[in-house]
Amino acid sequence: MTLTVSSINKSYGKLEILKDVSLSVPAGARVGIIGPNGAGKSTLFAVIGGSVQPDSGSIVLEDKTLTDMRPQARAELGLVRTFQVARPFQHLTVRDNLIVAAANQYGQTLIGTLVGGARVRREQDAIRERVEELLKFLKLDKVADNLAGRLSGGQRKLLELGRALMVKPSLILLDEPFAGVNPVLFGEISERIVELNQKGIGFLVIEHNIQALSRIVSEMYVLVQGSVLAHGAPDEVLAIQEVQHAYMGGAL
Amino acid sequence: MLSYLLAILIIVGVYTLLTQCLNLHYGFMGLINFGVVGFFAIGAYTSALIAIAGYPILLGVLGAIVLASLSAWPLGVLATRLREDYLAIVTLGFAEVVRIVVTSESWLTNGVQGLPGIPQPFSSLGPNAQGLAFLGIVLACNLAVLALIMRLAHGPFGRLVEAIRDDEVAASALGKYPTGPRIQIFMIGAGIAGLAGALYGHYISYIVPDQFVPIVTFYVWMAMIMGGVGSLPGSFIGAAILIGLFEGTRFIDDAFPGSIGVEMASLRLVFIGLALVLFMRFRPQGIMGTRMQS
Repeated sequence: MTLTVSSINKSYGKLEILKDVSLSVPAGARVGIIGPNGAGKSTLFAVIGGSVQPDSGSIVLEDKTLTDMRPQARAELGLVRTFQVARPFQHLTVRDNLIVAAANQYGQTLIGTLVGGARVRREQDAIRERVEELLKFLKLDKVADNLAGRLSGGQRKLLELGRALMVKPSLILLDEPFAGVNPVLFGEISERIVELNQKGIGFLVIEHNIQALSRIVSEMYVLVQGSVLAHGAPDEVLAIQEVQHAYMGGAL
Repeated sequence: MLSYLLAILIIVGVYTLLTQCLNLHYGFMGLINFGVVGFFAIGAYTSALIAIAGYPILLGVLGAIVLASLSAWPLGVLATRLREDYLAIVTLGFAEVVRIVVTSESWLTNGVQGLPGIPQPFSSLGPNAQGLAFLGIVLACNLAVLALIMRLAHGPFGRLVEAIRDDEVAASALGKYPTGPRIQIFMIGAGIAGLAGALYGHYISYIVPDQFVPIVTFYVWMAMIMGGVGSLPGSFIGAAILIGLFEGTRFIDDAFPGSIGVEMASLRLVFIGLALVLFMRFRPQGIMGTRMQS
């Protein structure tokens, strides 16, 4: 599904965080956002995800306007985000983190858990089957019974990706998937993203590591001081002098 | 001696129910309920009034559970909008409102004079047999509540609650609504406290507003802390220690013949305070609790 973000403005008091930001993620595309610290990337994600309300502008997924919807309603429509600092459910095991994330569980309702009987058992069995596959796919099967709070940074990022997948999304917003990840897992995460994309899931990715990002996206937006500075294919964008200057102090 | 023992066990059973209510609210869902006694009072008065009016005791008990649950609904809705420490104040205030209402609405509750002659079940049996039968009922209620809480905690619903407690923002981003489970758990817990109130009223057969002062809530908190937060067997052990301390201090009178009753009453509170301090120092997780992981 195509995500269209139009003319988003957001200020906190006199501080303008986002200024007339527009972008679009075509169905099944991989799009990246780069920008220096404080450019407004995470705020933009919070606005798209629904935890922060924009002052003006609109967010449309395919033909549905999401702007006034709560995060839950956006997730139900297939738009799921991850967080810059991974937020696993610390007191649940890795496996339970994935199980709990599956959408529309009858067993999670009060009635279902009390009198759901066979229907809930069947539902949970089906969820567990999906979870076992996903654990293998993300190479988390060896730590499946560990508490999620004990995972390494990279594994947390993988777990967050897995949890998002349990919702069966059509578009995943990834906030710095490579931050705090060791180089071995770097390739792992990139491969998983590309594989998932081939199955039709779209990605919008914020990332500081330009090299890693340019390997997985086909299109890139540069956000500087709350505005879109440039937009295009990764090598085109990175060749623009302004971008080099704004982002790397010209060092690229 | 047997009737005394039965009386103590029944009161322990009633406090175990209250502690289970609090363990469901706080240990399971993280809701700080400082108004346990309010739901306890609603249960006691509802069931007593229904039974005094001539309806069956069972109907009174069901009415107590339903009314206590319903009274929790507006508080539960508030709880989802307030930070958790505010819920503590709201529930504390709620319990006081309940006490003041039953004190002043004399036409219904007989005010400060209280309700005497609340019908007791099994009154055709002899005193000891009646006590034993009542104890059986209290035990059955406790086991039923235990089964209910186990069912809620160990399954998809319990997993969802754990996720919401760990990280509400992350849960919301995955499409989970935290408000529903919170309100439901708050209402169910209140119903349990209402049941405890109904049993209490029918057992002692006489209730007055003074039995429903805020300190009762904090006794329940002490029982939960001593037994172990989040531990279901701990609810019973904590309640037993609490009542044991209350009753045990009665016998100090005999050991020190010179003392008088008033001094003993104060000494009791000293013992309970001391017990709590010792628990906090040497076993903060309670008897059955597991030490918190950092």
